Amino acid sequence: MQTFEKIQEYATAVCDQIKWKKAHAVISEEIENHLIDQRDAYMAGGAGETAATNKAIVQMGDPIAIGTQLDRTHRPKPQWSMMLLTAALLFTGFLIRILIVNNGSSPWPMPMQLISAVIGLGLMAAAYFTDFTLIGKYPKAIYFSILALSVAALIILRSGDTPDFRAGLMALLFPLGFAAIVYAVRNKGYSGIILCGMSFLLPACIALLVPTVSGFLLFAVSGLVILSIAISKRWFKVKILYGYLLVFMPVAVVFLLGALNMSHDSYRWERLQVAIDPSIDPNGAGYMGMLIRTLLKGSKLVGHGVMPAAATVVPWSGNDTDYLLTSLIFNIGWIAFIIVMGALLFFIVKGFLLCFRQRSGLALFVSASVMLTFTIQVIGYVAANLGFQLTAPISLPLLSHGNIATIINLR
Amino acid sequence: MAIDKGLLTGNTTMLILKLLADKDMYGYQMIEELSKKSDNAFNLKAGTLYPILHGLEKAGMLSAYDDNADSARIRKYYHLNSKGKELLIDKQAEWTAYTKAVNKVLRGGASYANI
Repeated sequence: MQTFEKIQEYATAVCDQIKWKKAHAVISEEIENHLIDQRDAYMAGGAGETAATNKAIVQMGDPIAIGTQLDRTHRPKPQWSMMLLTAALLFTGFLIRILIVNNGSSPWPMPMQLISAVIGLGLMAAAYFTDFTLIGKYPKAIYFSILALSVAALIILRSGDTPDFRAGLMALLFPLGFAAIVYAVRNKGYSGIILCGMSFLLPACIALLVPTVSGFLLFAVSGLVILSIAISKRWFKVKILYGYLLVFMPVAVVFLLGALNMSHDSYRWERLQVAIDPSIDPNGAGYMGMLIRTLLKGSKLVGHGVMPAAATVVPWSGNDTDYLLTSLIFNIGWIAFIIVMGALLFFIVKGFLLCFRQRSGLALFVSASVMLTFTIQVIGYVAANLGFQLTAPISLPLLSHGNIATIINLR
Repeated sequence: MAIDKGLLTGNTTMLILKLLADKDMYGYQMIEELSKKSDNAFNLKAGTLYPILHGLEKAGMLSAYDDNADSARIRKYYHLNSKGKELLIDKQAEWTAYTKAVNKVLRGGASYANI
């Protein structure tokens, strides 16, 4: 038997005694490292590899006894506060939609929303209780499964000749797939960073094929943050500065080329201007921006807003999907917006604190990818709902109506 | 001189805390340092060390992080938190009182000459 296999076998014997599977990866890595250090020390003292390995294993002690002791320390710590907050946000979403839809005119397929929430909660529970180290064991399978699902969505979910906006929701899964790849190539030095760049391109192309600019931006920002964390933690074992240069130089070039292209593309340039000032094109691209700003101008701190005499607002179909917050502010008042944002901010801050408390690299990547996806969605959605229409909002996680979005956000 | 295991058992936590008060370390490094600092008197078994480390981490005395500061391998380093520093002070006081009492007994009991 190879000596490393012996070491792995020992670590497995220890972990077999620990019922909480999520602790296995970290413990097994620590024990393996210890045994390798001890074996190397014995080898440096003149022992052969097999003898040194055996001696190191004997020095460590009975794996069953160690595993049993560690089992007493490592018990599952369910994040009840986060779970309760998720359920509370989901319930608040339902409540807001009841209050708003009663004042609006959009159809409200309640059973479908309930089914989506239940499927989503089921997936969340499954993801929570599944051993997340599977992502570390099968990173490529995870990455390519997400790509395959996205391509399938691109083909199946269509409105006429073009892909449906729902296909773009798959972009919410891209950061997770990317995080898995970053973890898989973390020890490969500069070529690992280049591989990450290559694995970024495929999902990015899918996002642009839908096209979902919001999805692309969400993936690009979360991808860059995940990669930056990996470099700063020296996962690639490269000089931090060179690692950053390898990532951000191509990004800067692409950004500059994009900006240059935009300056020659009058349509995109106008879209950017309209996003900042929708009054430039009040009946075209700036229509929604103008409508939102009019509604917000007439909103009160507490209570139903008042429309200016000259303005006419036609009820629009997105008031419980893309513009839930605008509707909330106008119908209930800014106070409701402040409360909802407070709850979301609390969720985000707590989520990131938990995320950075993870000492295992894989746990950090996975939780960071989930929290980044959540946060960027919130930022994009809030900006759009306050009248800044640079990109179409994806969804307000857990709160806005959207069956597929609810399921994917809860996974 | 190797020390009787029983003598070490009750004080392992204090020794670990003391090692970490000087600098952050990983498990193997702690065993080596302890052996070196005690002139090979304390040869702590890894199987004893890790359950104690994990217990102290869970109790908030230590925090752990991954780093590959001086090696190609990523290692789990332990850091002594403020709660752990307080525990070390308590343990040291306890040890001083204990050794003082043992020494008194070994010297033939408490002296009442000044009473």
